[in-house]
Amino acid sequence: MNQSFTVALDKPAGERNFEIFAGDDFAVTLRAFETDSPADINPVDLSGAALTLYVDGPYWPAYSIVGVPGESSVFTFPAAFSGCRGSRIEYRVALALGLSSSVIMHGTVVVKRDHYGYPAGFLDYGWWWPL
Amino acid sequence: MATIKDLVKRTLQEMQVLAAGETPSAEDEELVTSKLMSVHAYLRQQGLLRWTTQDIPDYAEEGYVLMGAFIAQAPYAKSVPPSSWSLGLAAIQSGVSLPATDTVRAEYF
Repeated sequence: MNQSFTVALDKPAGERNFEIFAGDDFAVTLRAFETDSPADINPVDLSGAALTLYVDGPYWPAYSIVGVPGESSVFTFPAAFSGCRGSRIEYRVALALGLSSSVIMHGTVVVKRDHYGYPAGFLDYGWWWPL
Repeated sequence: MATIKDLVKRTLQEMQVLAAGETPSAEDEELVTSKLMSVHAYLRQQGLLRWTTQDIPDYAEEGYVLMGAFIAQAPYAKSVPPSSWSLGLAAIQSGVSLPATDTVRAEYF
C-alpha cells in the first residue's frame, strides 16, 4: 500500500510511522511545505534538491534510496527492501540542497507478514525469508 | 485527510454556533483557525504530531474539533462538555500509537 506524507521545513524533523506487508512493492510520496501554516497550501518544488531515504535494519547493513524530487517527491521501494529484516525498521529522509543537508522526516516501518495463512504469533511480523 | 481550514466549520457546529448548512463569517473563521492552531501547537509540544496542517488524518479530525471547541467556547459564551478536551486528546493519542509487533529493539544507555 502506498503511503503519503507531508512535512514542514520550518519545523524539526517530524515522525511518520506506517505499516506495510512484507513482500509488497510500495511507494512513499512526500510533499514538503515551507511552513506549517494553514495559509501555506502550495508544496515546495524540490527539483534540484537531493532526497535520500536511509533505512536501517537490525540484521542487515543499512542502505539508502534516492527519491525523485519535485512537488511530490516519491520513493519507490522494490523487493530489495527485504534486505531489512526487522519487524520495526527505522528510517529517515534527508534533504540536501547545495551544501546543506538536513533530516526532514524519520520514523518506523512496521512490517507485517502472512507466512502460514493463519495467525502465528511472532512469525506474523518481519520481512525475512521465506515470505 | 483534512486541512485545518476544513475543520473550522465543524468546530463551530460542535459549539452550536453554526447550524447545518450555514457558513462561518470571516471573523469566526479567523478566530477558530487560531484556536485550532493552538491545538496543533499543543500536540506538537506533546510529541504527538505525525502530520502538518495540510494533511490531518481521519482519526485525528474529531480530536481537533473537540479540543478546538473546548478552547474556543469562551469567546462565544458557549458551554462545551468539560470532557471534550480529554476525549479529543485520547482519540489522537490512540491513533498515533504504533501497532504492537513481536519484538521491540532494546535501547542501551
